[in-house]
Amino acid sequence: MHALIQRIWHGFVVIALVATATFVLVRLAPGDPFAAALENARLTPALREQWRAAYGLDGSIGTQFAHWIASLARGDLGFSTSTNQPVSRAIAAALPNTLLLIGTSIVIAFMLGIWLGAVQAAGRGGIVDRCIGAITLIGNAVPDFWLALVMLLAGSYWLRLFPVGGVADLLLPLGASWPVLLLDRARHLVLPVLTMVILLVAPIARLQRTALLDRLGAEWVRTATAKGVARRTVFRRHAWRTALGPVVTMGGIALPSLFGGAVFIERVFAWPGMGRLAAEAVAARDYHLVVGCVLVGTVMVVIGSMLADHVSAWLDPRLTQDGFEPGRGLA
Amino acid sequence: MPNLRDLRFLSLCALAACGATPDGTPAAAVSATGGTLVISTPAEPDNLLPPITTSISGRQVEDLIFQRLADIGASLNTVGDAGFTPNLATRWQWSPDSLSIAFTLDSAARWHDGVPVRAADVRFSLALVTDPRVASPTALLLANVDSISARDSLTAVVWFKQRRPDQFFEIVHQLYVLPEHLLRTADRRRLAAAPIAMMPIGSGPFRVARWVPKQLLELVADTTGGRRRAQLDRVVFAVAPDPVTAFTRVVTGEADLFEAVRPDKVAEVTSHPQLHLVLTPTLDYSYLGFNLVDQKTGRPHSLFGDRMVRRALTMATDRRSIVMNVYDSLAVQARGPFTAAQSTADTAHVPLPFAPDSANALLDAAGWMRGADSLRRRNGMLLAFGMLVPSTSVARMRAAVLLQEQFRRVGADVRIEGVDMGGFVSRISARRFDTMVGAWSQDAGPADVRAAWTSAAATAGGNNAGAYRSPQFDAHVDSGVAAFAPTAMRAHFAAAWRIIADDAPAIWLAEPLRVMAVHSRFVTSGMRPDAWWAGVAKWSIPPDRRIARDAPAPAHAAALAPAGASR
Amino acid sequence: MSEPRRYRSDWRGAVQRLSADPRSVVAASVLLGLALLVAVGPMLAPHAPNAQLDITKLVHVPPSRAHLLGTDVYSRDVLARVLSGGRISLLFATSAVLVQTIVGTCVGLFAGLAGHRIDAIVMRGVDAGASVPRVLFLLALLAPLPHVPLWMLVLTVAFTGWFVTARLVRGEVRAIRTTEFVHAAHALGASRLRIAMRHLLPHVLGPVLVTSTLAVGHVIVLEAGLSWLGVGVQAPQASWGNIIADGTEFLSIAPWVSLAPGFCLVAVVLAASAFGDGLRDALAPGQLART
Repeated sequence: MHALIQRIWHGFVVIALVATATFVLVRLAPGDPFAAALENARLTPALREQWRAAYGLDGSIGTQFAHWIASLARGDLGFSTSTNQPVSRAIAAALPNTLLLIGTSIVIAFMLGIWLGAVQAAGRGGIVDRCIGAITLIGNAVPDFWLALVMLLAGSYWLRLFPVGGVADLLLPLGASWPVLLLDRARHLVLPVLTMVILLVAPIARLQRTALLDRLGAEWVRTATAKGVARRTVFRRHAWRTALGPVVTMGGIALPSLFGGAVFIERVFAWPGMGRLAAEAVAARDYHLVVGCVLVGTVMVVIGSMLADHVSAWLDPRLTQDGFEPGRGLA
Repeated sequence: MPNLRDLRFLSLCALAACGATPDGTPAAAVSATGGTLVISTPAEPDNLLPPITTSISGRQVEDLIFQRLADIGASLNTVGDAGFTPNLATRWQWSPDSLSIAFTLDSAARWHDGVPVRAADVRFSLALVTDPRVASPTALLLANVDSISARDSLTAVVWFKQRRPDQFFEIVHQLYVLPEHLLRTADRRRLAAAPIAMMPIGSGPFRVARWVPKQLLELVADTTGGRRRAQLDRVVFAVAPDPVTAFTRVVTGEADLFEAVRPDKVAEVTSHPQLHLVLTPTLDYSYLGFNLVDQKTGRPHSLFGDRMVRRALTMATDRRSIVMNVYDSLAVQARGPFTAAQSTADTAHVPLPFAPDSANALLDAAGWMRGADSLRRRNGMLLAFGMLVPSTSVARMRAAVLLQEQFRRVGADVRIEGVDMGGFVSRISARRFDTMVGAWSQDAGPADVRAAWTSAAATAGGNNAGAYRSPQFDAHVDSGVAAFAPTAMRAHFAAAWRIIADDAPAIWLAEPLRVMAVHSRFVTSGMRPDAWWAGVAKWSIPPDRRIARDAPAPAHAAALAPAGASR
Repeated sequence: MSEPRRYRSDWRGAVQRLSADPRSVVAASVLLGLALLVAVGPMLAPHAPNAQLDITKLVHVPPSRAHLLGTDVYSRDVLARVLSGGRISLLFATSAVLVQTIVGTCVGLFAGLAGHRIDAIVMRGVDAGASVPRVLFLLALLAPLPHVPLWMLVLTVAFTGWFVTARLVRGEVRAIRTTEFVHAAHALGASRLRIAMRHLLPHVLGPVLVTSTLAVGHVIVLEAGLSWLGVGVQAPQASWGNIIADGTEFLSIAPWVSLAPGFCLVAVVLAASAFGDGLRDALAPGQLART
């Protein structure tokens, strides 16, 4: 129990650090909230200054921070100047989309990666092992934006199988039946998820393969085998389960890079999620929205890694902290 | 690269044919209204309240949901009221001294919520735009308007400070009429935060049905007004931030219109029989602006304070080839701070030629001598400067790389400074740059040039960021703007263009055409150089050419209002 | 990984094992070969990488004898740019990884050896840094700045990349600082710095080396992504990343522009990752079932 409280306290400190640093950093960047809107700059600096003041974005960073903390205490994340709405509303609209994208991708990538890793481990050194290894690695070596664009062109333009981006066909009649709506959602989800899965599956498969081989060589597995437990059962019940631990932990650590990958994927697929919201907020110098996005993102990351640790501890109680090689973007 | 010249010719002809059809009544679509126009766009509006809107995409939507008193004609003539067509005002009467105009409003005009549009709304709109608390960038453009009074509920009298050739244009073009009953109580300091900024109620042919930020903005034809119903049922702006994605939506048929087709994609558009390539002239030009003042000392810039250096660098650039490379044949070389489409253009004007030999000779004469590394120096100082460019603009980044290489050939060492738009604007405002690759979307009025190139705009906060000052240029512009006779106006502007071109405060690069891909089922009309969307209310789709999404969806449209309101 | 994999500081044995592993040998040869190519290549290339040959007539020339890899939209020779860009990409990636590894190792050693309180403070900072998506971090830092010189790009990328190494090193140090030989050294009066340099550093060097090798590939890919977002290596200087990013615009009419650098990039990432695997196996043999 004490460990959990400490863990939560640590998480809180991390979130506070990130929020404060972001708050200061975005304000140090050249430009101001209304400068990016119109490059023709008919909006003169004097008018921009007046608008800044109207939305509480003038004064020293210290005063602004005090104001922000005060409104945060009331549960108010501030007003987003680039989207003309409270930050909380902008995030509430984007977060579910990102969670859908990342969540679906993680589930599929983990199932696929764990299965591929197991196949590789079972036939280690063989042609299948090498082929899977090479293919997943190539997928992992391609730049995110390039893969996303090629997937978009291939799936939506050349093959005409899937819609060109977006989270749903918003022109569907509102009265459409739920199977139609569900199918529409699924069709929009395929390409971005596939892109993310390709980027994600290699480190998972690699780790799973290594961990499984580790376990199979471990003494207690050999003991179990010696006791007459069938090899297949050992594989499935013992080795498999404990090998999952590191993979799950990695999932927790990989969350920030998933949000990072979302910056590219959401842009290419016109996906109205957090990655795009944050990147566009940076471009618009929408201070409150940037801080809000990073804050919410960090909360997700902290919660995610706590969950991952708990799940992996449950999978393998003997688990200790280990420095395994990070996946893409973590290095 | 394919030669696009023939293509361009054909499309311009097609466009001319479109424009020639009588207003809104093409033979094919007689009475049947209906259909959906899906516009694929990378940018969405910042807000939909005209006084505080700064984006072009916002302006597009506002032109469809709000009304002006009258609309400017396709020739963009701004002298007097010739060429203007009635819009919210059905007629107008000048006072004998021309210092006031009485506009009679259309008695049938209604706001989208059913409330009649009244003269008090016109008076309120001016008061709102010019309220210092609102800090509207439009206020400056209405500086010559003294006040508006409501003579009766349908007659708004506009009073001017001075009699000017473009006074009619100013009031009808710059002022959107806004609903007083909905905006009276809004916090004027924070108009953008008012819910009405996202879900405005106008009196125009379309009303906002819903706006799902980052995804789509849907307009539906308004029927409450009882007049001028738009031919189309719906206009949908579908947002995709990446231009490749936005373009792909049009070629796959998911969307009907994309307004910024890159030259290398033109062949692809023409290979799809369902797409038309539509080219229109624009009021945009791009240029490399020199900073004539050193911001640290306030004295003339060590390089660009020298007219000879500016002229030399201008002659060092092969602008024709640069334009060809960036736009293929879909742009012409810009001649100066104007485009051929506007009334003040001097199409006979010849810019400084591309003459590397003269450029080298001029630089030698100015004391910049080549060293062993073939770069030029004067008194030990290298001929080196930065070139500020927004890295998000493909065309301008391309021009920057091409310019840099051409400057290198005459011995100048140029550092490209790519930066995002926010950083770009703030550097320009603070005037912290040597040169910058700029683009200016002009207003339809001739006075707009003042905002960018006259001494008045060279002061802090003005848009003449390079601080070019020439009393002669200013005088000709002022005389041109004040001239009532078109010939006198053109003569003054021609003189002004000559002066500024000789002084070379910038290298004018390109006047791009607008290159649009439009689905062939649309009968388009009323495209203006400053606003291709101006006539969308008159666009139609012949009934036999409609596709699935053109079908009327009454249940949908009815259900939309609450969905939109709850946004 | 029920117990932390013990890396041995048996370097001679490691080199032996490494050179006996065909996968590692191939990977190393690919890396060395490419490094040699980009080191020597630009001098042999027939065109300067930034020379615009004819911006109206020689744009997007397909591969031919005159231009083995074709030309790009500015009529520049793609081969010359791939060679020159490779130099920048490899230099950029190795130096960024070098910096981030040094910073991460130092911070990790410091936190691992420091008292509980300082360790906690430092590690919360590391957690905070690691919880922000790196791409977003870099975008926010770099996009508003005009002309980011290469060294600054290297430092910025390194600054956002050292957290994992710090965690790794700190974990290793925490695990072995309680072992007998460290106690013994301490008892003998060795200073903390000396213990860190003489006893701990060699132990953490193995895992750090493996992580860094893998990171080289990641950073090259990262730079490509940054270029696409407009904040990578500044034009007109070529890098594999920005050639690919600029080329995507013309994927359908001039695929050759992004194909060659794309191939090089994938080759480097694959080789670096294969070599990293080999290195790990060589440095920590035994527990790991070898392929």
